[in-house]
Amino acid sequence: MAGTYASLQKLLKKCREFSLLGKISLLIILLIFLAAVWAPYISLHSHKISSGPALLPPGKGHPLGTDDLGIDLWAQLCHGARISLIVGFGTAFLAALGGGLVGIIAGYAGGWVDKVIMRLIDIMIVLPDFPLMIVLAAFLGPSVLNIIIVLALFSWVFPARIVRAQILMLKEHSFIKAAETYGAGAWYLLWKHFLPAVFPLMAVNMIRQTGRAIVSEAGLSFLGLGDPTSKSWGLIINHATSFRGIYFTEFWKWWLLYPWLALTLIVLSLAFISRELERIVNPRL
Amino acid sequence: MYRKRGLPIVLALVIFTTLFVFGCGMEQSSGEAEPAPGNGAAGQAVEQAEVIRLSGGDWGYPSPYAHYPRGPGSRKMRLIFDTLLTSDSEGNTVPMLACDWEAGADGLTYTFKLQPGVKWQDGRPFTAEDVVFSYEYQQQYPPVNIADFSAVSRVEALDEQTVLMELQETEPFFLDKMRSFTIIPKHIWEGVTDPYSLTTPEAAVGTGPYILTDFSKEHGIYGFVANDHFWGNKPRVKEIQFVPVSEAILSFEQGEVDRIGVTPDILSRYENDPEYRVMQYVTSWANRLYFNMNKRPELADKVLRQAMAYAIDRQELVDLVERGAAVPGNPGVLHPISNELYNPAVPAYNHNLQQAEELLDSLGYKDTDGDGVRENSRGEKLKYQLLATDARLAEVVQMHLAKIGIEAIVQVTDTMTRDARFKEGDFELCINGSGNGEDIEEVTGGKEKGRATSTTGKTIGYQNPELDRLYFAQDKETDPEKHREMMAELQQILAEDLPKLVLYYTNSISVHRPAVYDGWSEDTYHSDSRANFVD
Repeated sequence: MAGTYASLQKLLKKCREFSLLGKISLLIILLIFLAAVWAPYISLHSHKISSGPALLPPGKGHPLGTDDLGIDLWAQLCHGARISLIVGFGTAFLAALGGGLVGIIAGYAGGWVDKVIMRLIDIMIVLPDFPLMIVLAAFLGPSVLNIIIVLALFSWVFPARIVRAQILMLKEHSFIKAAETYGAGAWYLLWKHFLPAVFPLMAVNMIRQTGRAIVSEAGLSFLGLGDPTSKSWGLIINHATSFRGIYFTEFWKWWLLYPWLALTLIVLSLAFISRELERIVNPRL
Repeated sequence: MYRKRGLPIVLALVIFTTLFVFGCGMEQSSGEAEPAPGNGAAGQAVEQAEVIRLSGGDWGYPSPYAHYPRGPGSRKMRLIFDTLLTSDSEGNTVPMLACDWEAGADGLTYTFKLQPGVKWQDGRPFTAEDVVFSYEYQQQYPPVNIADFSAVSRVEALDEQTVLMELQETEPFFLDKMRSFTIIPKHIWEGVTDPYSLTTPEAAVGTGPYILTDFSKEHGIYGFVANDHFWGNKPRVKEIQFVPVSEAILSFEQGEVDRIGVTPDILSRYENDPEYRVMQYVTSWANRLYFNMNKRPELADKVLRQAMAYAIDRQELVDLVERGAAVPGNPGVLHPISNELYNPAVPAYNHNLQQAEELLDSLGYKDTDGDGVRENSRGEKLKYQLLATDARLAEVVQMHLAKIGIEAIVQVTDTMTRDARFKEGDFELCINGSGNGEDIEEVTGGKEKGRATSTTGKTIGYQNPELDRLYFAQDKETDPEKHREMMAELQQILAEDLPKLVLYYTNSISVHRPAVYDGWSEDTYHSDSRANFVD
């Protein structure tokens, strides 16, 4: 455990080596994170109840305007950030945890266990994930938890493969062999040697998964598979685009633009951070 | 996009059987070849437009058995199939396949003379045998829109061109009921034992003005060409195509479709432009709120329903959800503007939160645990699932109910799922909309005619013998003054009891290019209605 902490600290220290782009990205994520945490305090109006005339352009009182029901858009975006972040990080955490464990088991156990897991991973990679996600989401019913589960089910394969490759390489190292001859069990090796070694790679992967999950959540919500009255960014976009003739009015200039901007910003930032981390953790790439 | 567009469309024909007074004009009286009302250029009726393209969508195979029980499905079927009789724009019964008829002196027999020289689209002659067969076959296999045959005891072919119908009891509006009697060819359906799944081309052979040439369920495509051997007036359009459309306005501006429905927000694009013509309709297409009193017995208390009616601000629904293009619902069900039988004296339930809360208080519903939701003395909360297809409409209703301490959990599904669940009674509260916005029969305990439809579900658990008596009495009342009185009283009971709550009736705004085709009917707002293409 201590090793994991240490490598986490090392990772944070590495953030200082970020380029300007990376630092800006980090700042944006931080701001969105703060907006999500303090959503009820920084949004002037309710995100669920109408607080003004419908489709008011951005201005005094409603900094980003209102939607077709007169609900403040800024409040909706702040609360939507919560859903996006929860889904993003929840999925990434579940996927990295599950995928990491599977990868360690496959790599360390080897033999037929490894073969079965690898074939399963091959199958999962070939499957077109988004259509299957739609089917699963429709089947499980709309809720944030279900969306996280569905997304995690399709995201564990990449961390699993990367971790397995690392473990295969690690277990041939002499220090592992030495530990084994002194009687170290699988559990001890896992905590003491494997996890600290693969953690940086998993962290990079987690961030990439987060971006992917946020976009997938928006996609599922956009298709109407999210909780219909939640205020996720995807759902705001869904409501805006299903407003008849929105592109022929000026309403899209705020109702559609801002949630799209928020979504683009968070996904771009995550992508830049993951690229920076990859450069630092794995300089050969 | 299309799902939303498809929703506000009507099962107009079902109305014919139930509420003759609201009969929508489908057919101009045959005989004179005068241009349809709303026909801009004189002489248009003679000149045939080449191709008209409209927005498509899957509404089932257009046979009397395989189309979906929604307006767009019925209307496509009606381009191919004729009925025995029909109605004109004023709601009078006029000839269709029967050109003349005579009632026996006792009112128990009717003799119909059939149009001479009518041929099925496959070339076989149409005879009285087909009418007899249609009656017998539809008794065994009810089509999607079935005529009310409850009074009929026997149908017989007297000769090739004459049909005799015998009744068990006198039925003052018998002829009106024959407006939805679809005639199908004996030589095709005779051997068919599963008509609901017959979707081969012979299932779409009728006597009507259009022949089905193309159908794709997956793409929502229908193609029709004018039937050159049609017995009536020459169709005014040679070819009608229903094509897939993703963005209706864009498709219209690029000329891919010839007529669309628009919202008030973009009306200004077309209003003062001579290239376009805007047609506005007040319709009886209504969104209604239904209460499942079997699943939630406390909903059977009309005071609770009245409290909801006070809480739901119907004017705000009109403003927010329909952008003003609608008329707030009348608790007495009939349309306040377009229905001349409207009774303005019924309780209006104008938006009044205080009144709503007082009613809930009087029933003993109090929010004791401070979570904003009221509960009764046993701690059962006023918390309901609200099934709907339009998320925005459901969300506003949810907001309004929340203000008086009733929690609605919104469930949004597609139309087909909602319709199926509505029919099975698998809901607690449900918002359903259809063109039968003024239907009263669905809240009576009367026996269902034919198959239950998804648009006029039986309101579940509601029963009022007085309402039933009055409804079926007015159905047989021939004196207009007495009929009006009965309808006024019916509306009073409906508004008092609120077995369903009409949220609003939509107004329809359509735009077309007169240069392409200007024969769109002013009597019906449905662009796919037969009245637009045949006099």
